[in-house]
Amino acid sequence: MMTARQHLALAVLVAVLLPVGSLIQGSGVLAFRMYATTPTWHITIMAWDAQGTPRPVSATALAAGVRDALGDVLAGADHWKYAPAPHYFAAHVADLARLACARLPGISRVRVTIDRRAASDAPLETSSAARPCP
Amino acid sequence: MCSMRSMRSLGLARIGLGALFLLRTTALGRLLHLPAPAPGVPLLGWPGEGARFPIPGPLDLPDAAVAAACLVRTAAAALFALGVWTRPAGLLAGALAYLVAMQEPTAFSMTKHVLFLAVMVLACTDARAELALRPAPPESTRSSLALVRVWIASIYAWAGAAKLNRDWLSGRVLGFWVDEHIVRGPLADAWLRTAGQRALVAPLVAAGEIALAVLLLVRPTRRLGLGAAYAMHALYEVTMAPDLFGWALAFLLLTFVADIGPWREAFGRGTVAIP
Repeated sequence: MMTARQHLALAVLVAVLLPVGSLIQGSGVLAFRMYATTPTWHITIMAWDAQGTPRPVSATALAAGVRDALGDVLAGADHWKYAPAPHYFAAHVADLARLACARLPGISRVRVTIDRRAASDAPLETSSAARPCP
Repeated sequence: MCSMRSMRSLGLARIGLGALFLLRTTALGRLLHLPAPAPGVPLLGWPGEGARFPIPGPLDLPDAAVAAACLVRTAAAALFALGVWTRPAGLLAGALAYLVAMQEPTAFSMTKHVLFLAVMVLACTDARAELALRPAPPESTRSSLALVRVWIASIYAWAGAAKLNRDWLSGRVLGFWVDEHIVRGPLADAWLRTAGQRALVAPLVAAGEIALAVLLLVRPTRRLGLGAAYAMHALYEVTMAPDLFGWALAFLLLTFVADIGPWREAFGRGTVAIP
């Protein structure tokens, strides 16, 4: 049985607490910010072979072996492009490095760097992760 | 006693949102040429080769658990739409939809959020009391409507407030969406062709969305707000067709049709009569 008071509490939860919580968490994914900004990102991937020779790898090359959402997001990210969830990827930059290890044959070490901007005039934020590849 | 019109609007919203939820999360939507899971994917988030996001999500589940969640979500959504065990069905459908969506965070969208949360919110209201195969007795129709109204108005308010940033207000963001063909069509060609036009339209959009929230919540302007909201969504459909967002709001806006009396009584104690 839902009472009027419980409906009021639920209204506060869905109309205020969820969006505010999402903004505080940083993603704003529950705050109805659709189309309000154009967050952009850029990925730099550097891979080292067994001899320790570094070579740059494009994010598009990494996207080639990945379908659906991730492939769409990674493709073209070697240049600045619109990113639907830059906060999420920045938080998982180490996972992207792990993905690069798994997808790029013959490499011994990889470093992934994500540069992102919340808006065209927003400050640059950088996240980076490096790991050896088994 | 509750107004039949008020109850009916909640029942219609439940059926509409339940149907949209099913269309958006199953291959049914594809048959109707609506936004739907990708070809070869029977249910939204269904695990399969390449369909899962290979970066672990916040609550990463094994494939079998995701598949089970997709199946139960769909069954629960159907029961919700039909009005059978509506409350548990709606809460379960919404919760499982979020759980499955967490497996592919970059594919999450505001339309999905609205659909998933709407089903959960409506399950907590008297939407289960009308136009249902197994109607439940009404509990508090006035506060049910007030809950949905506050949430809907907040969506417009948050959307408008998010646009109060320099990038949007200058028209640059709108220009980006035009360049990407997200905003398109003859109206966009006519009204958003130049940077000057976009700089004029962008603040109007932000102000309009915030004004809608106020118009809808203030009793004397509710009907004006309702008409303006439908007009705005019609315009968005013509220029953007943003997934099923406009359709979801169109059904939810039905809850603004009846008068629920003054706000100070909307969340009062017990089941309250609606004139």
